[in-house]
Amino acid sequence: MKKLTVMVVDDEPVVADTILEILKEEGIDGFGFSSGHAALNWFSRINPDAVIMDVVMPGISGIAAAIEMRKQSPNCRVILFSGQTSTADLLNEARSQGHQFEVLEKPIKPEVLLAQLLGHNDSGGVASGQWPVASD
Amino acid sequence: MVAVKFPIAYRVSERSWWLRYLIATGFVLVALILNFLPPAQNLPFLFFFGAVALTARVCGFGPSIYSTALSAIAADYFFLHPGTHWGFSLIDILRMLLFASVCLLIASLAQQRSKAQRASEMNQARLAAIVQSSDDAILSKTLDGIITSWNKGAERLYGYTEAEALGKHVSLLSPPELPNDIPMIMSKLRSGDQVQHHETTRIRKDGTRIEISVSVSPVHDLAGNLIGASTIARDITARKVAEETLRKTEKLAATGRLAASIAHEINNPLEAVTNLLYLLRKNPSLDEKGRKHLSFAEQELERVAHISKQTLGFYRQVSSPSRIDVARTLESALSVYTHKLEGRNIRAETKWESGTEIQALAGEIRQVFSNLIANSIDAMPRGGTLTLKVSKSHDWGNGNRRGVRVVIADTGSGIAPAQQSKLFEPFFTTKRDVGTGLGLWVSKSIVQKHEGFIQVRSSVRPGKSGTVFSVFLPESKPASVAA
Ligand SMILES: Nc1ncnc2c1ncn2[C@@H]1O[C@H](COP(=O)(O)OP(=O)(O)OP(=O)(O)O)[C@@H](O)[C@H]1O
Ligand SMILES: [Mg+2]
Repeated sequence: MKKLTVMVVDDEPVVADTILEILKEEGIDGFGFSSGHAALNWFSRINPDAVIMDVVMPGISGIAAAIEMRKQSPNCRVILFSGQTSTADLLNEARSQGHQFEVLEKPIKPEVLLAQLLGHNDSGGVASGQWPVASD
Repeated sequence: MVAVKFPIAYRVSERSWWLRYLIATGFVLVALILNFLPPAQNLPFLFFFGAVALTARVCGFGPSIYSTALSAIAADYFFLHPGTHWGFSLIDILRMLLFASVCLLIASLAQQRSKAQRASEMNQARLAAIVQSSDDAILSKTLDGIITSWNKGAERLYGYTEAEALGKHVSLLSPPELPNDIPMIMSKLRSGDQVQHHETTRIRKDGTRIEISVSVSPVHDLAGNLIGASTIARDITARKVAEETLRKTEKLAATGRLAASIAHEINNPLEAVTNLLYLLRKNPSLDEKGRKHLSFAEQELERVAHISKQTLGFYRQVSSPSRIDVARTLESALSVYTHKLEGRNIRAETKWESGTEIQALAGEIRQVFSNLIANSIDAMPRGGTLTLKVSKSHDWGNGNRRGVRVVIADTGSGIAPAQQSKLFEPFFTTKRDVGTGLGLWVSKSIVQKHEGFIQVRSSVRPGKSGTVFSVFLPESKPASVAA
């Protein structure tokens, strides 16, 4: 099996760093970014298999960044997670523009996050190969 | 001078010419008869002057000339030269001319006065019509507060007819909780001040309260003495209700923003700690004791996470309330539990009424329903029936507000009477390991925030046990204006 490459985007460095470390434990290569802009700048060069991204960040929101990433690379998995309540509003706005996103709520357990990422998810009812971000 | 005031209705000057001349003849005849009375014998012209003046006022100028001539003939015939012959001496002619010119003078004076009076009466009638047809309530009162006039607008606004209001004291309209309002206005008036756009509450005849804006100005007589006050009042209930709704909406939004920022501050560190504990568990150098401590820490952390989700719910919105379909919201809350219901062998029965729309924060209302459904499922570990009903309803107890009633009933364990009073207290739970005891507390505060209420009935009788939660949510639309 090919090694996964993942981008982790969160404006809270502790969150991004701990997730990167958890990924490393599983043998997954991770790259951390603290803003949607920075992540978009590196997106085409890294060409990741998946992106784990916070929704509410200063500058461009996680949802806006996700829409752009999906445009550039439709096969890339984007997992959004959020600890903030305005997420519902942002999601509604994205939906009104025709973009459907599922969002995991913070705090999310590492086990659940890994299950989502590796595709052997048994709690959320997500079929293999199909990612929450793409379901509608 | 004769100064009889004739109400417009009796004025005949606009009538047909022959009627006016007939009346003029009548006046002269009356004057003639009066002249035969003893005291008038030596003043033969006096009553004729009166007849001419009356004719001028009532019938107009033409008839007054006619009555002058008639009077002159009658005076000459009956009094100056009683008998049959006509006198044509110089003195007679001079006397007649004098009589005629005095008559004409009187006639023209009377005519002028009557014209001016007519104009002012027309003006008054026009003003009265404006006052009567005004949408605003217009009333006047004496300085003691006795109502002296009352227009149609006042009848509509306050519910009292003119007959009911006249002669009453204005405190009739004062609600008991504002005993000083009208005395304050009256004392301002007595010191000659005006009251402009004073916003206050009044009570209608049927007991309902109305918000009004009132302007009161002093009324003076011709000599400048303060004799009373006139009041113009306008119903501003609709505007007040709209303002109040806006204030509440802003409050809701502010609470939402607060919850949002607290959620952010708490959930990010929680995420970090969760990740750190996970990494710690992966550490091979951790001994048995350390592992035990770690799993306690993880359990406690889970509790904090659950509390955070309950109180600062993920779905809580920052946006302001919108119109939501309550049945649809309940349906979407239920859909999350479909798997769980099947797994527990719980049958769900639903009954929606259409058009159950209210003004609310959809995310928060969904959280309420979700909490109640979760509780019902927890109460039925060995299966049962979950009944969900949504119907349009009224809150009879509270001004008959319209709204929506949601009933969530289960055939579960029921709640012991001793515990029923504690249900809505924060942290009251019988689910040691899994519950926070915040579900109902949060639900109640959300429902109260929406100005609704939540009720519970429960039975623990074996075989018939179960619990019914009933939530009333008002439509929270500005109440229709009291007509
Ligand atoms: N439908 C029900 N049937 C029986 N008991 C109930 C029902 N709903 C609530 N209760 C009782 O009320 C208690 C308080 O409920 P509440 O929802 O506030 O907290 P919880 O369910 O214990 O915890 P949480 O909702 O935070 O996970 C519950 O522990 C339970 O004992
Ligand atoms: Mg509960």
